[in-house]
This record gives sequence, C-alpha cells and structure tokens, in this order.
Amino acid sequence: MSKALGCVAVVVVIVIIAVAVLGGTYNHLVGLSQAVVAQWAQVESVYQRRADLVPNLVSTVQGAANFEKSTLEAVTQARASVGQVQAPAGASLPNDPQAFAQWQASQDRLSGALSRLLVVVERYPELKANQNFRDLQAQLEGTENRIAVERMRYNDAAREYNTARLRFPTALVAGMFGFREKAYFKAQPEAAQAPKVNFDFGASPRAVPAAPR
Amino acid sequence: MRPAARVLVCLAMGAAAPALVAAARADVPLPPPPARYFNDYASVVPPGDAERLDQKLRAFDEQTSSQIVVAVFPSLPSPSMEDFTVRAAQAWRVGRKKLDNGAVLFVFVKDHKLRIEVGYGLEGALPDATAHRIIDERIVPALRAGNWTAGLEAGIDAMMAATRGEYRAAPPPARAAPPRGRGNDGIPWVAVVVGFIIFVTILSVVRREMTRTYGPTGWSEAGGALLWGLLSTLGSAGGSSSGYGRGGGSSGGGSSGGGFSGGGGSFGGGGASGSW
Repeated sequence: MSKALGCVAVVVVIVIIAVAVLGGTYNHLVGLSQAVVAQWAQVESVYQRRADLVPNLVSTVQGAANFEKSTLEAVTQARASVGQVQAPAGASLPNDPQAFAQWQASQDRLSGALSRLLVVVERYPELKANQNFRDLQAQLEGTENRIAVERMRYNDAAREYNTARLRFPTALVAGMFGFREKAYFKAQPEAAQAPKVNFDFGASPRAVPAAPR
Repeated sequence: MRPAARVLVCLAMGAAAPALVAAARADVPLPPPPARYFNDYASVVPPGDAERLDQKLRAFDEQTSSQIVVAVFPSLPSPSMEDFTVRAAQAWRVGRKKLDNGAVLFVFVKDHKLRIEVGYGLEGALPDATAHRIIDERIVPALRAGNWTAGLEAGIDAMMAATRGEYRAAPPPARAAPPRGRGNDGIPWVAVVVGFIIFVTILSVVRREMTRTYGPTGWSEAGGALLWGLLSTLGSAGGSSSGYGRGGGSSGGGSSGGGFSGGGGSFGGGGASGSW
C-alpha cells in the first residue's frame, strides 16, 4: 500500500521535473529568440534611416555644378534595389539565410555607392563648403556608425541564441518546436581591403563592384 | 634549420591570428567607469578649471537628469575610435535607465581625435549634424590654438544647450526594446532540479527515521529545520548569480556626494567624430 503510493509519488515528481525542465528551456529559447527579433528591428530601423537620407543627399549633391553623373546614378540604383529584397511571405529575414544574404548584399551595395560618392565629393570644394551638405554628411556618417553598432549587437544576440539552441538539453526542445537557426551578418569582402578609388571616369556606371553571391 | 624556423613562425602566427581578430573587436579592455563628470586622464586642463567644469556638469545632471560626461584620454587604446567609444559609453551606463539621456565627449590627446557619443534618448535633441557642428565650430578651433579649457568648456556648454532645448519638453523618442536576452539566465535549473530531488530523498529518509525514533509527531520539527536550511542555501545561490554586466546596483542617484555614477543609459552609435 505505502509502497505503491511511494511509486506514484516518484513518478509524479519525475513528471513535474521533466515539465519544469522542458518548460524552462523552452522559455529560455523564446526569450533569446525575442532578443534577436528586437535587435533585428533595431538593425532595420537604422538601415531605414539611411535609406531615408539618400534622396535628400542626392538632391543636394545634384545642385552642385556638373557633378559626376555615374556616381549619383549608382547611389540611386542601389537605393532603389534595397527596398526590393524581402523575405518570403510569413518568414522573417533572420530565419531565412538566403534572403538574409541577398538583403545584406543589397545594403552593402548601397554602402559602397555612398562611400564612393563621399570620395568623389572631395573634388567639389563648393559642395564641401555647403553647410546643408555637411550636415547631411554628418548624419550619413553617424548612420553608418549606428549600422555598424546595431549589426554587431545583432550578431551577438544571434550567436547567443544559436549557441543555446545547439546545447543539450535545449537542442531537444529546439528540434521539437522548430526553433530555426538565425542568420549572421558577414563581414563585407571589400571591408577587408583598403577602398579602391577609381579614377577612370565614365568608364562604367557601376563603379563599385556588387558583392558576390 | 631555416624551414624549421619558418614552420615555427607559421605555427605562432596561426595561433596568434584568432587572438588578434578577437582583440580587434572586443578585447581591448575598457576603462572603468569614471568617478567624476569631468575626467582629465591626460592632465591637460588645470585642476581648478577641471573642478569648475565638473561642478557644472553635476549641476546639469541634478537639474535636468541628463548626464553629460567628459573623458580626456592621453591616447586612443583601440584601432577604431568609434568602436571603442560606443562600448565605453555603453559600459559606463551614462544617462538614466530607460531614458537613455546620456552623452559623452571623448578626447584623445596624442591622436588629435575626439568624438561626441550620444545616447539613444538624446538623438533627437543632439542629432549627428549638431554634434558635428559643435565639434567643428566650438571645440576644434580652441584645441588647435592649444586652449584646452576654452575648447572643452565651449563644447560642454553647447552640448548642454542642445540637450536642455528639447529634453524636458518632450519624452525621448520611442525605440525598440534593448536587445539583451535575459530569458531564464538567472535561474540555475539544473541546480534547482538536483536540489529538489535531494531534498525529497532526504526528507523521506529523515521522515522514516524520525517517525521510527520519535513517533509520528517528532519529525515535523526536524523537517522544518531542513526546509529552512534548504531555503537559505537557495537564497544565497540565487543572490550570487545575477548575470550580465548591466552596471550592477548603481541606479538613479548619481549625484549624491558629488561623484559620477552611471544611471543605466544605452548608446547606439549616434554622435559625430572629429580631429584637429
């Protein structure tokens, strides 16, 4: 009698423990995943901030007498292509490595076009003296810096989540409930080498090579 | 001999490379949180002036709750100024928690570089363009002339004016929640489970023994003592595992007694850089 009761008690305790452990790791994963999502929102907002700056910048630069056309066109094109990359319906970019890589490539293309624009501007002293342009340049630099910061934090959050996801016993829960790996930002191939300044004007409209992939 | 040496060099480089990569990003040690609002680690400002500027910044914190900190370093400890300053400002927790109304003016004397780092909550009041103008028009001309006090004071005044302009009138712009995975980090689940199992086992054994020796009423006292012991153990374990470097207990306050202490503000890389 008392032995049977003891057995039942042991089973109940084990079940309670199992539920507590699974629930705990599940909640832990959800928390980490939400942190990645929140950080992803930060990343998107700083990129959006840059995209919003571009039209203003282009119109200010256009005001300068005969500013090099190809550079401006490259910026405008890159700006237009940024909005076109989207995750397939129902998915978010961090969960879709391929769309994520495409998205990053289009953003990096815009980074390249903008940095080339700032290099070319060095040859237009009246533009550099223009206060409006200088304010825009400061905003653009600040935004690029924010992008770097938020990207780094996103990668940190994604790494924390991905590591937790692979660990035991969290891996069991991740498999059961379909927690997917989050994609990382990769260092730009151009970022590793010193920026090349192309003095071959008008040769190719796309002065800054698109990131491969 | 020669090839062997080459192999050795290659091995050494292979071992050092990951360390170098890591050092480039995060492993430059960050300076500890400053003790004052105005910190002249390079001794370029006369002590009397430094004291006066410190008073000014402290009074500003007391009036507006916005924290502006100045840190003058002899040289830049990291290859990337922007990376270093945003991590230092974030680690120092300048500004109030949730409001993120902090700003830090960094100056690196030998490198002739400076940067204003602006917290999330002040990005509206002190946008990049304004920060850039403050650096270019107020600070740099005086630093070029070698006048440290005038340059830094002009910068502080301009930053305070910009911050005061908006800060009290409008709440800080909304932003997405700060991305820090808290999750269940604080609770050591394994320890809880193991402790629970041990607790149940011991309790049943003790209960059996007690019941056998003292009869049905005697065991409850012992059980109570055991429970108390377990709870106090758990309590002390929980206290020690408070996790992530979120600036510890220094919240609010900040101005009692005169020293600076970070209130928990967050930074996202806003601001501007300059050189002279």
